[in-house]
Amino acid sequence: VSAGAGRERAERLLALAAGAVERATGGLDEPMRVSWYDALDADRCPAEYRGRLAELGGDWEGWSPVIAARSVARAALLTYLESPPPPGGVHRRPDPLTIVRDQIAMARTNPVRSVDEWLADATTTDHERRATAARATRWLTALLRMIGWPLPPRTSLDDGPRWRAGSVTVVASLDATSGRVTAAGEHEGLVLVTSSGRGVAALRDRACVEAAAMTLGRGIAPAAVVVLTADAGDRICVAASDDALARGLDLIVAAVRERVTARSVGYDEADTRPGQHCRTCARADRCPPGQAWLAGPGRRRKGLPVLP
Amino acid sequence: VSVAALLAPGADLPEPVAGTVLDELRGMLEHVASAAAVAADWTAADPLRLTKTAVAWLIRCPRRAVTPDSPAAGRDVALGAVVDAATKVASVRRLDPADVDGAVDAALGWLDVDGADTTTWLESLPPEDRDTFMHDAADRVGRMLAGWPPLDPAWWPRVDDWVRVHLAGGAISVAGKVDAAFGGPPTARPGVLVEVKGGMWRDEHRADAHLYALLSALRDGRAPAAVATVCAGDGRINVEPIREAVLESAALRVTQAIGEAERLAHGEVPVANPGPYCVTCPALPDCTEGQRYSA
Repeated sequence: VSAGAGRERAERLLALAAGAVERATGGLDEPMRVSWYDALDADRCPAEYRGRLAELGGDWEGWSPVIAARSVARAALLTYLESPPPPGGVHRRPDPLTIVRDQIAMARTNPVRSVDEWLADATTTDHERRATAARATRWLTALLRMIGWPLPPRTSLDDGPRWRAGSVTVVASLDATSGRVTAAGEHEGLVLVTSSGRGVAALRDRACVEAAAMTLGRGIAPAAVVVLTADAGDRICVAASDDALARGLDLIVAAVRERVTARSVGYDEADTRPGQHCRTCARADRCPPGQAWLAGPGRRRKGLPVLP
Repeated sequence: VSVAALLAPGADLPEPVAGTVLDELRGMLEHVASAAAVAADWTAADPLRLTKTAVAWLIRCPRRAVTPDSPAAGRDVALGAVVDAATKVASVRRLDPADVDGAVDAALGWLDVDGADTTTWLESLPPEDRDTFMHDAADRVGRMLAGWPPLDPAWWPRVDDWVRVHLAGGAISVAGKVDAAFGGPPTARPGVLVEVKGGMWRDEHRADAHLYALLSALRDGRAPAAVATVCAGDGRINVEPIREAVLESAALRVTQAIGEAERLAHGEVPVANPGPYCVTCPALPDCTEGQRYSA
């Protein structure tokens, strides 16, 4: 890695990004937040993505155990790391369930963040808090299993950076970064995914999107983004090369374009991209191309033929 | 035998299998999977996805393996869901074995949050049927709780722990969801997996336990020391110490299932191997062998 490689790659990406995003918005001046989730879903099937946006909206629907788990788990670890170390000066490896429960108790007595307020809210049930604790514990266990303890040198649990271009905010959804951010870009982004069921290609695309979002937000490209799969125990390392960053930017820009198009055109069967995802698509029974795929190339169910 | 005894200090658990044995098993699986993926045209974009159920049916009755499942519903499914949920609650919060009704209530709450339709189904029952169901659910949850360990965060308890192995570059995956897991990497404690069944013990449960041990071993680089199957229907708890031979047997079953799947993908007519399971098989109306057996 040369002394300024990270910055140079970022400069090349930034030179492309602002114009590309602006063109994709087509002059629309409404706030829009784009993350890996939008980028991958819009790429998987633009028609389904737009249809979902048009019918359900892309707005925040509030906290739930599924959504809160990661946030609570990361906060629990951060709180633990920021607590005074025991004699000897070194934090011992925490028990995930203990620190998650402590975090939830603290959130209820002294809510600071939005997720804390949800946990403290009188309308949030004990059942929901318990489910949140279970999911957060599982998430944290997987993270610690994958990255080890003590945490790798210079690990940061800060949220990923954001980058704004006009009305569009691109959000990096990192779980941690390791290494020092220098112009050389020697640091890495770490992402923990609980399921690798979407396949390696989607995980590599996720890494490209995070690499591009990190680069735009920080002004320095990382060396790589590492996707840690909790279920398979794999580490998928994608170097933040110019090609990877360009792929990430393309996916982000395409998502912006679909978000804008969704204002006027929702689902349109001309834009469908039938594939494996049709099997679990909520629109499958209303999508002729999806039905045709399921009856033809997708006739196999999980790789096996299906008897009539 | 109880899960509590397995997690008690000084429990007699085998040394977890690790190292070259696991490398060799992965190598064998990769070898078989790579050849099969090419032959059957499975790719990372359109893979063969195996689960414990698919592996079991491919080996036991290929005809059943290619028959879509009927929507699961009914009393037994609901009872299983309640026991399963009670286990999960007990893994993150102490449940008092003397307060079984409270435990059932907590389990129903868990299912509600999880989006399961158990409570809706329950509400649809006439009051007397609902009372009978709650009574049976309490019986089963009580049996499960009687052998459940006290909550100890040092065991790193976690629930619904997905384990998955990708083979042949993702063209074949084998996945499972462990109901409750304790210890294992990165803790220094031995790994113990727990599978909870709402019904009675059946010998087939052993193969499921072995498969989960294999997947967990390949993911973590260290096998769990034991897998316990808790059957709330009859109170039986089966503990499988996980030794090399168990993992080898599980890996061979996976290769057998892949081989059968490959034959089916080539268009071979699925063989029907009738057995006691035919009674509840969704293929029965169209399966001559199954009908003959059931008659």
